[in-house]
Amino acid sequence: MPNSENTILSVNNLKVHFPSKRKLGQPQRWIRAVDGINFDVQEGETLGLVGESGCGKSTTARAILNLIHRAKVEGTIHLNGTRIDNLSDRAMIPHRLTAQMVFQDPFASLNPRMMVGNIIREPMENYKLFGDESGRRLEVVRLMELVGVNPQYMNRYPHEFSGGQRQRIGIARALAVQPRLIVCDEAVSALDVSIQAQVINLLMDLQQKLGVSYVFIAHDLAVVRHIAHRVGVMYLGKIVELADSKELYDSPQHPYTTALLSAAPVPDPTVDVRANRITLTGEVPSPDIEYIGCSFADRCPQVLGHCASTMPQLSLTDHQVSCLLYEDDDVDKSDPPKSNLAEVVV
Amino acid sequence: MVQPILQVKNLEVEFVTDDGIVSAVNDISFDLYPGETLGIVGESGSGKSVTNLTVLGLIPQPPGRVINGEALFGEQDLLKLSHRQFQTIRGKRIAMIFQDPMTALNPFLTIQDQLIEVSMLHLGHTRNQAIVHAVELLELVGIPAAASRVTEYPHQFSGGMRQRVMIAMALSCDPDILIADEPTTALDVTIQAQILDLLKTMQDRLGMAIIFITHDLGVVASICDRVMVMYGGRKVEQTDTKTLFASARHPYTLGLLQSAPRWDQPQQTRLQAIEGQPPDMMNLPAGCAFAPRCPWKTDECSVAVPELVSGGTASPGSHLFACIHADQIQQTGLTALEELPHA
Repeated sequence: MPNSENTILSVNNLKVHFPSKRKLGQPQRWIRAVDGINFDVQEGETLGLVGESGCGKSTTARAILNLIHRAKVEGTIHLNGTRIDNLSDRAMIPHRLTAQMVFQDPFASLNPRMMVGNIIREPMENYKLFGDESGRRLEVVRLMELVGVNPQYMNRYPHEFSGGQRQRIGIARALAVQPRLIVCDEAVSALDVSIQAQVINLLMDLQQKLGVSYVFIAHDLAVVRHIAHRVGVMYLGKIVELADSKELYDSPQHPYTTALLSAAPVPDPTVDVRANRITLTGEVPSPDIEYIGCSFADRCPQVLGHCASTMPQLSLTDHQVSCLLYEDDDVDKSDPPKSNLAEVVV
Repeated sequence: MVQPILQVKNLEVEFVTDDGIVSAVNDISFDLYPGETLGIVGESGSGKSVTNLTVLGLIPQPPGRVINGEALFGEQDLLKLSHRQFQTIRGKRIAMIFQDPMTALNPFLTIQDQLIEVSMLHLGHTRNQAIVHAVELLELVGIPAAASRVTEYPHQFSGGMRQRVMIAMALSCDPDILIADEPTTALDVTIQAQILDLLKTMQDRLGMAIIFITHDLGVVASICDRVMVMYGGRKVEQTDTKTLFASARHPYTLGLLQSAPRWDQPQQTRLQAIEGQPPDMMNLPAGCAFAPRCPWKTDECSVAVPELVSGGTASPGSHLFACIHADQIQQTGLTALEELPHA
């Protein structure tokens, strides 16, 4: 349940399991894309989600907006106090006024056959906002000015704009229904550095002006550090650490967060990154396995004896971390077993 | 005096399209020395990939057209080679790895079939010799259980592993030059770190020169010895990596350094973005291509394309930049952009 009036989004024990292709004579396996995550987003706040490909960031983004089909979804999602995870597409329609999305690829997410003015106007028309045609036209002009695209260009087509301009148009479209939450799924990843900075500035300005909240998903740790107030680190469908952004970057606790931060290239040739880097061996394991213990155990440089057999719980402090190193019971700190991870197949 | 292994001189490449002529590369010259890593940095469309594809003879002509320039590899001008002559060099003495390991491998062939092709063609290996060689290479680039995995298909490998396979393929004939076009852009940071380490280790061991094309200054800082910055198809600055980060002289380079969010920067502050849009390559402005976005812009900037001048203190030519306001920029340095009202 949402715990305060200012909570715009509240996600409780969300699981999204996709059916994997069934092989003859074998039981159905499930890709556990998102596997029990909890977080909430306050009004005017930016929550960053980081992690490697396949960790479930984008699935989370889609689940928040109830856009997941053909999958087993468990847990609850409250948007602005209303439970939305059990709503049909039709029942979801009024709630799309509250939450919108900005997509990664500014080339694929705009209809090439629509003029950009119409792209931005369409959501307003669908919801009969801003009175009549002329009211909507004025609003399109205002939005285009707000995101920094010359309103004279409203009769142009998406291909006439550069990537950064298109992403601005995508943002204007998301803003058209005056949402309170915008989910940005890798919204700046496809842009060049200099343009990326412009769009990040725009997103931060809009937040100040409109008080909109963001769920900002990206794999670029420096970008997320810059824009987010709080950051969650995802690994294999779980949030392994969630804390205030400064806190998380200054004193990461989870061994995976530490390794992830140490791997990020630093734009300073005088820093010897390699000396401080914690290189993870191996790769992210398959998400169609349910682990008894910590799913990071077989790559973890600080693995303990019982990591593979005990499931760590996300601590309920301000700096949430899901690691047995920070659970203070009388644990077995002996050497880790040399065998592979214990696993159960579902 | 070490001789450069590759000398590109006054390269000019354009593309003829239905809408007009795109001048993709304008008067690019650079030297590459044995064993060094030269970074090429620039925005999409700045000509960094076209420069290198031209050197490798991989630009389809038409629509591409090499107007001018030469690329001396030893005594040979690569731009004058026939298709057949090129095949004795490409893949053998100059190799390339591409950005997207998902599409650069043939999904219908096993890793083995793709790897042995190179050494059978260039080194005259028999099929069996080539397979032994392929397994050695895969072990070299850190693929576990190489002997059994070599018969698998690309889809059975993860992104990082596929990029290792690409590197193994490129290193197959012990090339003199390795051209890496955004080899880590599609990879996660932890895998990127592994691949950068691998490239460095391979370079230490085999001594090849690397041209590393990227837009990520963090990657530049961690792997490149020297850097060339391109904008609008031209070289705007070139120096060693340390100098570039400490005392860049071209406004575009400064803008790039400032616009990336830094780890030591306060959070939630405005980034120093470069305003405006990248230039329209079909319609480059007269004079300096960066002028429309440049906070230092004066009327002189639009008169003529600024010459590359040398400002290196160590040796002549060690620091080149193409900006008529470079002296002013040197005095004010990195803080300058913040002080300028319209920056």
